[in-house]
Amino acid sequence: MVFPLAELGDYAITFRPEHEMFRKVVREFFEKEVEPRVSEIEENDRVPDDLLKKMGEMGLQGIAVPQEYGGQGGDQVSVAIFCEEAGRVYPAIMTLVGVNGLFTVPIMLFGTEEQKGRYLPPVAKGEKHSAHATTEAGAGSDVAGIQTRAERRGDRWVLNGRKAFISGGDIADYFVVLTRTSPPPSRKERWKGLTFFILEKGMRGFSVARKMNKSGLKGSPIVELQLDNVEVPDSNRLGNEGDGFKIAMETFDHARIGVAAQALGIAQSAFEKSLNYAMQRSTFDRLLIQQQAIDNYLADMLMKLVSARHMVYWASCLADAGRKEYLIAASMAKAYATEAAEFAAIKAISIHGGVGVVMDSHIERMLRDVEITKVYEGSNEIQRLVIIRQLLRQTLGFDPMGI
Amino acid sequence: MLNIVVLVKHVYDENQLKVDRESGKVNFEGVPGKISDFDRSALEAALVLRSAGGGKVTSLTLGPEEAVKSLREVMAMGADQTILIKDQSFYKMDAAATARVLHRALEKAGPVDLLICAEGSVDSYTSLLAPMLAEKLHLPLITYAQSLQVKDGTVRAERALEKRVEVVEAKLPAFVTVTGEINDPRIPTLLQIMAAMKKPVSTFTLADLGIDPRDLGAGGYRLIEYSAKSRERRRAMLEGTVPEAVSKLVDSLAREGLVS
Repeated sequence: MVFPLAELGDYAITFRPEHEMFRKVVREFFEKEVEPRVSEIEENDRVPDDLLKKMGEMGLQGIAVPQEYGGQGGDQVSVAIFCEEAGRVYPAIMTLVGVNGLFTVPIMLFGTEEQKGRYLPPVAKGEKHSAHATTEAGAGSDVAGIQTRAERRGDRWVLNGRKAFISGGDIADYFVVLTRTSPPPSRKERWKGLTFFILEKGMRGFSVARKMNKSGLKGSPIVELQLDNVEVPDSNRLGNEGDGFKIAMETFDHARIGVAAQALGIAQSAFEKSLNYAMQRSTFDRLLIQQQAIDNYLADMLMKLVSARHMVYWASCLADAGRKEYLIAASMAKAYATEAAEFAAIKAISIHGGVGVVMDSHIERMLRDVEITKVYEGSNEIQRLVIIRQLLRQTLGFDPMGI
Repeated sequence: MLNIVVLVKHVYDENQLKVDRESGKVNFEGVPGKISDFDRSALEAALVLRSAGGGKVTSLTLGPEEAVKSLREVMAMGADQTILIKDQSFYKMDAAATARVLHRALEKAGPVDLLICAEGSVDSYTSLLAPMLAEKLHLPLITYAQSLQVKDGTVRAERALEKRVEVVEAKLPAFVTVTGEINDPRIPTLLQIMAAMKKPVSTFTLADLGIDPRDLGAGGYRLIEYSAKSRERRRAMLEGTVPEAVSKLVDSLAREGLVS
């Protein structure tokens, strides 16, 4: 055994020719269409509609959605490729696309045929936007701590509460919203009694309360959502009553690799820009690249970058192979890549010196953008718990939470 | 129904060439290949004509096995059919030899209404192939097209020349070379990329075309070596206030004959 996996081959990463071609076209799109507009997006805190429309036409909003529902039928490796290339040029765009995944994934996994037919195609084609509303002011990584409630009234449900930090909520037409439908049976079973519903923009009592101002990921605004006696039919329930926690966890398991890949793209960009600068800028009559301290920074950045790349695509390959170990791999990739990217962003500022904190240089932006990646889709502290708890469950059959 | 054939070339990715700073020698080892940039514009032009008037777009290349990657790319963009003339020694061929091979291949491929290629390939950029091939095929040739229309069996193009634009027409069948400005080539979706990986590529060898590779080198020119040319940038600092510096800049540009 090559603990915690069975054999060396389990650590393999395999790409097919279509992956490389897809990487090239995504890179071309981001360098040609997005990069020249980054300053404009930063300034307006909004990605222009024409850019979103173009991405929809290119199928980038539905990479992992099956073909029969209007998507591209791509695998996890393809999703990771998109997220990395987006992260390399402008990470907020990955978040804008990623929130559609947080809507489509739970519907693909748990939705009824009717729900899939109604909601997946317009989102996958980029004709409609969507968002995922689990987080509240008082509960994020602690999903079971949410306070929003849904009460059954005949064959309808009435939802009340407030959601916070909802990415894409300002432009979303569709939402999945997590609610508590029954009180937890005990302190140990707090995760029970949660249920998801699908909501649409404009439903009576459902509104965007306010936009929250934040430092990074400009262009992907976050909002608070207000639910004031929002009434929905039971057909809007997503999955079984009480299965909300499970649905949320499985959704985040998928999204984790995307966040890891997004951070990988930031690390890649930080390294490329730093190396380039170090080859041009001189101090004390020598190029920066001829200074040992700078070389040490760059070598550390590159080691972490390459390690992160291997973890991200390894986790993606395990997911595509349907291996349950991908849960551990995805959590490792998420925690590692986001911290590698933070390291790279900080070192990029050090290497660029004063230039690094000038906003027009887009170096400091990488640090602003990377911080949230350590937090969302389960904070890195939570990832570390997942890594060890899953490891114990999968390899030793020992459930540390069961005692 | 137009039968359009687009010639593409699989070239070294010039951004990844490694040049020895001392000797200027270019190292091609391990440098990945790619489709020559403007070939995508040539294909896009063909796809636009196809969607306007119907027809079939075939893409043809001469190159090593690896050139199949470029053909997959044009299939992802929408080419109906692709043909690879597989030959490992193609890079030693001059334009005349290449024209001979393509001539035979086109004869074998069947009737062509419109042949399109880029004005040059990003590697050697001789722009010699199209005139040579047009001569062999006895086709009228329109070069440097920046726009293209086909109507009633006639192709009409705007030719981008240095200081003027020429509008020319030719009866089909004809041969057109296009500039990069003619269009913005489409970017394929993942679905199209995945589908392109499964489509067949027709492959011929020189022997299939009845060509003896030993004949191809004879009488042509031979490329002996590549080396990179480096040019030092002239660094000039213009002192003074912004208006002063601007007028100094304008003066120096005028002296160089760059503005008048």
